[in-house]
Amino acid sequence: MKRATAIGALVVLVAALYLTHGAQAQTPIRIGGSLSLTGTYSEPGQAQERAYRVCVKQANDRGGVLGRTVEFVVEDDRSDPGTAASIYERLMTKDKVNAVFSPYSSPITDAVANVTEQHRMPMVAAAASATSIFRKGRKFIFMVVSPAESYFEGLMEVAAKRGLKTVAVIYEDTIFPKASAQGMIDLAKRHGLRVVAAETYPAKTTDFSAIMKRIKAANPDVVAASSYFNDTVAIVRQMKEADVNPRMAGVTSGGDLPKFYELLGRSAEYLYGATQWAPEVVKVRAGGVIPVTRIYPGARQFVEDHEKQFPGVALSYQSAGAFGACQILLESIRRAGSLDHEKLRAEIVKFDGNTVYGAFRVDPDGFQIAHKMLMFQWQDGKKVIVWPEELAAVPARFPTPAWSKRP
Amino acid sequence: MDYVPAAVFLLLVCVASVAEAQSEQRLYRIGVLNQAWAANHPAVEGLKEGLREQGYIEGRDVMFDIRFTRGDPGATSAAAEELVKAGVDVIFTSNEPATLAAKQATQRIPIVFTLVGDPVLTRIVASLARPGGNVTGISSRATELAPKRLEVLKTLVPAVKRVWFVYHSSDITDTAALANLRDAARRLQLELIARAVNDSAETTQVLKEVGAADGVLAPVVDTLDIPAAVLEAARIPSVFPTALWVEHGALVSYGPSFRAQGVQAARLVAKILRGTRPQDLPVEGADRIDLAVNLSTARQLQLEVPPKILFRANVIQR
Repeated sequence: MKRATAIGALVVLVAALYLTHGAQAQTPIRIGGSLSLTGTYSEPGQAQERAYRVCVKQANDRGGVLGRTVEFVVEDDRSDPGTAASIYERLMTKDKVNAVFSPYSSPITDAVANVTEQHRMPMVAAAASATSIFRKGRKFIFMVVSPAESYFEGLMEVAAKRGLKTVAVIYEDTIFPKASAQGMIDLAKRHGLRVVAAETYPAKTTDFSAIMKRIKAANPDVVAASSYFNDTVAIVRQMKEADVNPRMAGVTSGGDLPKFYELLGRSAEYLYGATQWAPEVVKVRAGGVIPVTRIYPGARQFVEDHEKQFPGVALSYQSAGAFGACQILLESIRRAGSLDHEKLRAEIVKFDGNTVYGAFRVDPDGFQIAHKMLMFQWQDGKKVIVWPEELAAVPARFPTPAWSKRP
Repeated sequence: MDYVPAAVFLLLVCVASVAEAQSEQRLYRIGVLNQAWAANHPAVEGLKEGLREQGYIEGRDVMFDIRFTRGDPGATSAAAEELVKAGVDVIFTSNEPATLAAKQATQRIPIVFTLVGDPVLTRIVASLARPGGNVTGISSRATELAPKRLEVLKTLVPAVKRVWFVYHSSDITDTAALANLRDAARRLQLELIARAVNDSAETTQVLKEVGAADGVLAPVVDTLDIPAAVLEAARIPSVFPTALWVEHGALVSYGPSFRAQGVQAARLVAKILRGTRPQDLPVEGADRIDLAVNLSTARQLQLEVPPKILFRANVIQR
């Protein structure tokens, strides 16, 4: 009897050791994708990479997902849609990653979505705000950010409230800038503003002098630039050179990056920027009373962990977008209890909650319907949230003085 | 000859009108004192809106000297004294600690308060009809409305059996609301757990004790940032005193809006600027009470909002 008990105990011990060893030996969950680590989008692309790394580290520090560690596999797409699509194809067919994260920008995400859709691989799109991407009947792509069409919502609303009448828009002839410019035109009409100029330019344009000449002639109250980081910087510089003096000037992408102010210095003062998120949200109080951190759960921890992992590196909305997308993906894997693509898709579709980035809920097309934009203004070298009004701790500096009247 | 007195009268009227016009042209300085974290407290925004409606334009007729003390009761007295030294014409306050600090700092400058739950009990005024001294304002009727808040929570969350009331130990209004709350809890067959806290650590500790099936009644006064802590304590059905919280994620609220109290108080401020003494202006009760519900939060808490609430709610956050 004693012998039987001893054998029984031994069997249990061996089984326990085997199970423990088995769990430890489980392969990590490999999440792969490409990012614009070099090229046109390298600034936001690198911000996105850092945020993914913070997210994966946090997940692993908390015991991983489904009892497995998470491994982050990233390759440089050099800001090129074709390269990105090839990378994703290889990652899914040859390298057999378990899941994917999304690349940076609308054109690259659009190209990659053709590939992920073909493999029925869910992709939580951290940085694609062009509505058209989500209106092509795709079933495996999910939007995290507010759509491009809403980027100038704050600018148009404030301009109308201030009694301004005319607006000009400059936009790159690519998917995201085009969509946000069209959105602005619609918003302008809704707010009773007249569009006096709509100027488009091809990607990689560096000389905006002809456009500036026409804008100056149209003499609009508001100038809006729907562009990417490098063009945005060039447009602001050339507005100054051409002495274009609107009473409000706003930009879309890149205007929120610290490097934007570093490059432009005081020329960035008074400029409005649309942003999906700002690190200041961890401090902002609605009406000076209610902390808005509940809208961005985990944001404080994210800001602290990012600082620990990347000391001195500033955060941007692209960072938070990537982190939020990563949170949604990992949480959906947890809820699905599996890496099965269909089950994972079902969980993402059902997801109705808030991340570091704000609210997340998608319609049946995967189009974002819950997230809200913010508008900031550069004031004395700081980004200050000035819209929506309830989150604005200080009022906007209005009107923007003429270039000749600035110190 | 008969025309002479009439001419003199007309002349006097003209002189009086000119004098009045000149006095109207004066730029009044409105001191603002509250415990907010930024200058744009909704009661202050309401004050500005209300003064505009009364013909006082910011920069032309009035200017605002806003002092906010970020929930720090210790900083409030110093800020009140600064406003008195600055020589403001009126002090506009929000909540009890700010009003008491202003009252302590001056018996001369008119004070108009908002967000004060029970101005008589807190000895801010002698009576509502005849406030006396240099103080008048808008009562938010907090003690009176507290039982109703409990009732609203029970209607929205019928399964709730236990409700926690967390408040700052030295707050007179929330302490006074307790007796009313106990009566209401008995009537509604709820267990009321009242916890007076002294610091943020205690608040955190108490909120950790709240069970998943419990409810929380947020205090009226934001000293120690307790309402914010209640809001941030995830997945607890909680009832707040004003709709602003519901607009930012709280489940339900019952009480007057901060902004509306500011607009209402602006009428008293305008009367004072035109020469009425504050002691001659009876304290007014907040004239609009909102029932606000957040459907998204209800969904997250897996609660079905009963038609009774939906029908009565005048603020619905989706």
